[in-house]
This record gives sequence, C-alpha cells and structure tokens, in this order.
Amino acid sequence: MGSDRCMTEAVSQIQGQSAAMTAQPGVLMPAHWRDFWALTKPGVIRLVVFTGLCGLLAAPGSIHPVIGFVAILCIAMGAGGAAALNQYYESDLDALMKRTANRPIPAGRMDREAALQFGLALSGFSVVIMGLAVNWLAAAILAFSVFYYAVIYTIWLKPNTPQNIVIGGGAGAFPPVIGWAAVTGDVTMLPILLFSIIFFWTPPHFWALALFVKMDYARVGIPMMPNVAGEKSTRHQVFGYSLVLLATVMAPAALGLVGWTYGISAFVLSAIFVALAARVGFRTAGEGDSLKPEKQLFAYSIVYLFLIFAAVVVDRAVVPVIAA
Amino acid sequence: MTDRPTPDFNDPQVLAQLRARQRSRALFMAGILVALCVLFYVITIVKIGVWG
Repeated sequence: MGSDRCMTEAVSQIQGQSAAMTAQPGVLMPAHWRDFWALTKPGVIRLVVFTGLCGLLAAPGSIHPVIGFVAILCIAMGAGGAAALNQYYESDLDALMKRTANRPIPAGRMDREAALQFGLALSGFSVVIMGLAVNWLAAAILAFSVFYYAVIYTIWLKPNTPQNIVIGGGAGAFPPVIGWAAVTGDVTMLPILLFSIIFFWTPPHFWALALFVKMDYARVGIPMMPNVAGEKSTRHQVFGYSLVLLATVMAPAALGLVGWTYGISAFVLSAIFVALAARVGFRTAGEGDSLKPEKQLFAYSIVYLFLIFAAVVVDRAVVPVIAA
Repeated sequence: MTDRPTPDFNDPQVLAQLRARQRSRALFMAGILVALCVLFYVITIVKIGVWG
C-alpha cells in the first residue's frame, strides 16, 4: 500500500517534471552525462592539458606531484568550463553548421541553461581550487584565460572581426604560462615565448581549417578570413604567419633559454611546417578541389605543436638529467 | 529548436528512458562529489606537510 503510494508520487513527480519540460521549448530529456563531457570539447582539452603540462615540467624548481596534478586538473576544468560557455552562447549558430550541428545543445540533447550552469560551475571551481591548492598567480591567469575565451573571443571578437582567430588565439595560449606559474609563482621570458608560439601557430592552423569549411562559416555570417578578405589573401597570410611562427619557435634557442636538442628539433619541424604552408599559400583551388594541401597542413599543425612542446620538455627536463 | 517533437512522457518506454538518464546523472554527480572530497582531503594532507 505504502509502496503503491510512493510509486504514484514518483510518477506524478515525473509527470510534473515532464510538464515543466514540455513547457520549455527545445528541452526534450535530461541530458546524459556524456553530453556534459562533450560540452567540454575533450579534443581541445587534450592539447590544452599537454601544453600546460609542458609548461609545468619545463619550469625550474619542483612541485609536489599531487599539487602538480591539481594544477593540470584545474587547467583542464577551466578549459572545459570555457568551452561549455562558448557552446551555450553559440548554440544557435552551431545548429546551422554541419560541423557543429550534432553538439549537445543544437542537437536538442541538452537545455541551454544547464550548459550555462555547468560552464560557470566548472570555471569557478577550477579557479578557486587552483588558488587554494597551487597559487593565486596561476589562478588569476586561469581566470583571465577563461574570460578571454568565453567573453573576449566568443562574444566580442568572433562575430565582429576577421582577426578573431589572430587575437582570440591568445585564449588557447595561456596553459603553458599557467603550468609555469604553478611551479615558480612568477612569469619569465620562456613562458611568454611558449605563449607566443601558440599565439602565432593559431592563425595558420585555423585558417587551414577555415579554407575547407568556409561555406559553413559564410552560411552563419561569422567573418572568417576566407569569407572577408578572400581565399587568395588568406592563403598568403597562412604562409606569412608560418614565417613569423618559425622565428618565434627559434627564439628560445636564439636567446639561450633552451639547448641544441630543442633548437635542432624546432628548426626541422618548423621547416616542414613552412613547406606545407607554402604549398597552401601559393596555390589556387579550383572547382571540386579536394583541398588536400590544406587538410595536410591542418593535420600536421596539431602534431607540430605537440612535438614542439615535447622538445621543450625533453631539452629542459630530460637532457639535464641524462647529462648529470 | 522549437520544432522538435516533444516526447510523450506517458509512454512507459520514454518514462524508462527518462528514469535511466536521471539515474546515470545522479550516479555521475555522486562520483564527482566523492572525487572532490578525496581531492580536497589529499590536498590538505599535502599542504600540512604530512605527505611529501
């Protein structure tokens, strides 16, 4: 009897919830936890965590392994929170682009408000935990990077200027600085150069992608460089930025902040990057072009960044241990 | 987003799906809370210098 009443109450509670849900347009079912995971853009977080870890390992001094783990966890949480806020704000545009239409909010698997709450909670927790467990400089940089991505890039730059990726690239460039600050409590020349590497890597990386998905961006009115300045100008800029990137990547070796292990690796990897960028920069895509050089540059640029940062760590953390 | 069909929550299958999702989210949230408790505990241990 009692269990029957409980069951009746449970059903009426669910029916009450369902009535509330149907009253809210677009809300179908409570989101699955996998949708919250997808909201954090796990693919991007992989690169963020890796560069943050490299900044942490390359920094002079030591950090307790648990505190180091917490620092990296906070970087990942901050990046995930910023990604959730980005998807909350851009859900209407995401619904119109083939590449993003299956994200949790545009696909109707998640309520926008849930994404906003999740993003704010994740970002807030990451900054507070970083401050309490690691140090407040790292926490402040983390907070600024979340603000940079979620507000400066997503709300201000992206819909308003074709330079969105150039200036907005700064948002993804903070993790090595945060990793460094977590160990040393300050920011010196090398972490600033690591920031600059990601900053100047972003335009050729992203414009290579924009060249083969430009119709998506044009459809939703986002002023990406190929749609505003034209394909030819974008291609020239991809090549131009690859040269700036080469100079930036070689700067730590030229200033004596890293050794020859990094210098040689960085030069070889960057020469390949410039060669691939030159192929993209000085060609004209015809009708029905498969855009293979652009896809190759995009794929290589991801591997390139991983290897450059791995070379920094090997040079600063592994080689001295072997030499000793 | 407004033109999507609304699920019929009187359908037992839909209701079961709703319950399964609520259960999975509750378990996931519980897991996160436990992980945070363990994390704060370990951070405290490290900070007071007992371990390492």
